[in-house]
Amino acid sequence: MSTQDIMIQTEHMSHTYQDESGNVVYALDDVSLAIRKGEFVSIIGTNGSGKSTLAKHFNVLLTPSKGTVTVLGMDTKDPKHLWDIRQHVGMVFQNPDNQIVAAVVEEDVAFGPENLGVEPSEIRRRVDEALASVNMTEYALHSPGLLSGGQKQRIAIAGVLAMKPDCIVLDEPTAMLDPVGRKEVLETVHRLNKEEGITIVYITHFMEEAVTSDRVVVMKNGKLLHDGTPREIFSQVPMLKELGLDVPVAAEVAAKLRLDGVSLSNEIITEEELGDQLCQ
Amino acid sequence: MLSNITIGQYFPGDSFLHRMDPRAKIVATMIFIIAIFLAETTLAYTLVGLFTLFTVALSRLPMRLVWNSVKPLWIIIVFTMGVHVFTTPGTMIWQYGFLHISEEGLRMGSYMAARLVFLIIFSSLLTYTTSPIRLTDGIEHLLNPFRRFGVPAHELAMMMTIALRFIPTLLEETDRIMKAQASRGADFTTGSLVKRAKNMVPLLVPLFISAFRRADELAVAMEARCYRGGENRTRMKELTITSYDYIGIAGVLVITVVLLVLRFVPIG
Amino acid sequence: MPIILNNVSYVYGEHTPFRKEALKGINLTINEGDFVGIIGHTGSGKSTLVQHLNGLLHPTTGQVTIDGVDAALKTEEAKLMRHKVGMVFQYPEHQLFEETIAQDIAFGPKNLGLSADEVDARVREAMDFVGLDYETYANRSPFQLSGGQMRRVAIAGVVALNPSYLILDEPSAGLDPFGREEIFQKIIDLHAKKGITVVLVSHNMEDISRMANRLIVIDNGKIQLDGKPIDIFMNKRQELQSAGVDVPPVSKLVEYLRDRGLPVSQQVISVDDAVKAIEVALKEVNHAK
Repeated sequence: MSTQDIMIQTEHMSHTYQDESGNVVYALDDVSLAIRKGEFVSIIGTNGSGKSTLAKHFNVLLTPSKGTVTVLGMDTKDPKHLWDIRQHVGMVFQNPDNQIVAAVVEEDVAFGPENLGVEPSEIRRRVDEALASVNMTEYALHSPGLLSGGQKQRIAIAGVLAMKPDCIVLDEPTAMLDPVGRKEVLETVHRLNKEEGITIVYITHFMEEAVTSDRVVVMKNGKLLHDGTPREIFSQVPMLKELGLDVPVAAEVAAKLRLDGVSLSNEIITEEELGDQLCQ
Repeated sequence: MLSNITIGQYFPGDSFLHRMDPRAKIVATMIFIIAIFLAETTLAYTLVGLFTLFTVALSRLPMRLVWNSVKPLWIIIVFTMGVHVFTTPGTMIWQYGFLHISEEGLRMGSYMAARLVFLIIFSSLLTYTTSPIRLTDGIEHLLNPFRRFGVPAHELAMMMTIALRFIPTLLEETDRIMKAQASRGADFTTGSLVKRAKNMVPLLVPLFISAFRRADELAVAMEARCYRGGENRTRMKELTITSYDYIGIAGVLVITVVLLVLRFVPIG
Repeated sequence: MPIILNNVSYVYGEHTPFRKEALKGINLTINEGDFVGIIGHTGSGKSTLVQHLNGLLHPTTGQVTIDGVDAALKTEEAKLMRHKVGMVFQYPEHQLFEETIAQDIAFGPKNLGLSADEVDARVREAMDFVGLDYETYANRSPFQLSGGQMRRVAIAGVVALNPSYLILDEPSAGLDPFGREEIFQKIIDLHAKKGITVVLVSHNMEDISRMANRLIVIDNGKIQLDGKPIDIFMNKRQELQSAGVDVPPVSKLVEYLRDRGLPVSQQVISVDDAVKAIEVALKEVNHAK
């Protein structure tokens, strides 16, 4: 893979802090990972596995204690790249209420480009475009308080889009949403990835969301444990169970059927695949 | 209960007042408030009253809203009126014990009450016809020249913006925590004042913790969106002075000059 | 004795432009010993409904009685009845406020006017129940715990009231599978061992179908479906869909395999059920051949 294709790269990166008793704790431990341009990468792991800490390094909200993180070749430790990196890599957080700044939807979407010093007419254009991309144009003049969780998260995504990023990092964006909101957000993110070629780093503990990505990274105790396609990861049912993660139902059923002696390939992760092999 | 309070509320529209620039409106309101205090005669008060009514008409807002803005403050208005009515010396028209009403007192009382009413109506028109964001923008721009004296214009405006955004969220949160604690037998409504204040602890502690957590998360989110203070920041909606503003300011200046003449130039 | 809702309607913001009828003529009896799952999308009225069960909201019209006593009354008796209904809100860890875990859990029992000894006993029992060792945790600050642990402290604070009914609004929201499993095991225990009537509000059909013996689907302020979870999943697909609610993934999988021609029984509520049902179906198919 040539360096031009790489969006974000971490090399032997660790993040440490001291706990109350003065012990050094490794929140991230020797993580090496390269995310290519245009990829849709999910990061999964239980609470405390380090997945959110990792995400915060991509937008320079944190910098590594050891090793390096580079975004489009720029070292995140170099202060002169700070604003450049933040413009290229946008972030969406878990709590939809705590990331909306303004009391009117379109004013909030304008917040990012305003900070970048973009021309007013250009901001207007970008805001309209961003709201259209997340299907929220009709809510431009609404107050965010009255929107649903899924709508608020789409506004947050629009706020990032208006900064014209190459990559969006979403840190458990659906954890506080109901099933309808979860679907809205996931569909929006997939569309941005496919239609606008935006690189997506998607942190989640909903496995049915991770299944839809190009690549899945599994974290545990600050370490990068597995890195592969959804098929490679989710067909390993015992491994996921041991980590305390959910497993897609089709994969779980297939694994149990195999244990009982039913002959099935060990790469099944979707209903269709299970159906194909069972109903010949 | 909360929905009845209209002070500080914005009613969207497209009237002359809505189209004025927030800066012009703030300045015009300030000039007019000073002008009100120039009025001394019944003629002057009538003029001020007519001008206020004319402005209300320009806002194209229903009279009911204007009335709503005055209503919550009626105690203050009546009190002010009473103080003047009963304490101003002059030609007695009614007396009982130490209480007395003079002709001058009656007139002064009415003037003072009228002054307050005009003042309230005029300033509520400012907030009724200006969206909170434009109002904040206006204040920021007007304060900008004072930055060299250490006035944090941008920071004040940003604080107001965030406060406006989070007031409804925190009200909702308060409701939720009150209900949660009430489910554990907490009582927020009975007992002595001291006891009631003590009973607020289970509400206030979680509320503060939550507010700080929100502040923390919001700060991170703002930073992630490249917020770095007011330097080099642009705005999507720039403030522009239009003919509406010139006409508006001119109008207020005219009434001010008339009031000045009435007060200081002997007529006849 | 049951909680009975008799023709309950509730209106938010009456006489304002924001008027909204959140509940429309609800009739519902929650019997002692039930494990009721309530499901409905955001804004369906389910939160408003459960807040009526312990008198946090009073019906605009209609009546709620707890063990025969009108929950809206201001009498001591009604107050006692309301305390028999414990309520765990969404993200309950956000209501913690005391300096130590033991003090926070003691808040409810103290409000009931119990003696210091009795309060202490309740705290110990509740902590034991949610799996927090008294000696280790009693004097720690609740704010130094992990999210899952804080939530257990908050639930202990409600359990310490010794409620006969326990309402939980999305108790697993935001937890990872480990934390979720932990909380649900406690809830199952409360129902099975302590005999507490449980009302569980959730978005997650899988969790409800696993635990509840009765499922209520709310939509548009009305009860749309009420019955055994398995019956509803089997026979009321259309109604579930129109209420904006998903069937559990297992039921969906079975349905899919049936569509593809594999005669899998629909009597399936867990992954293990599904595996067995598929194996039975495969045998049948092979026999037929």
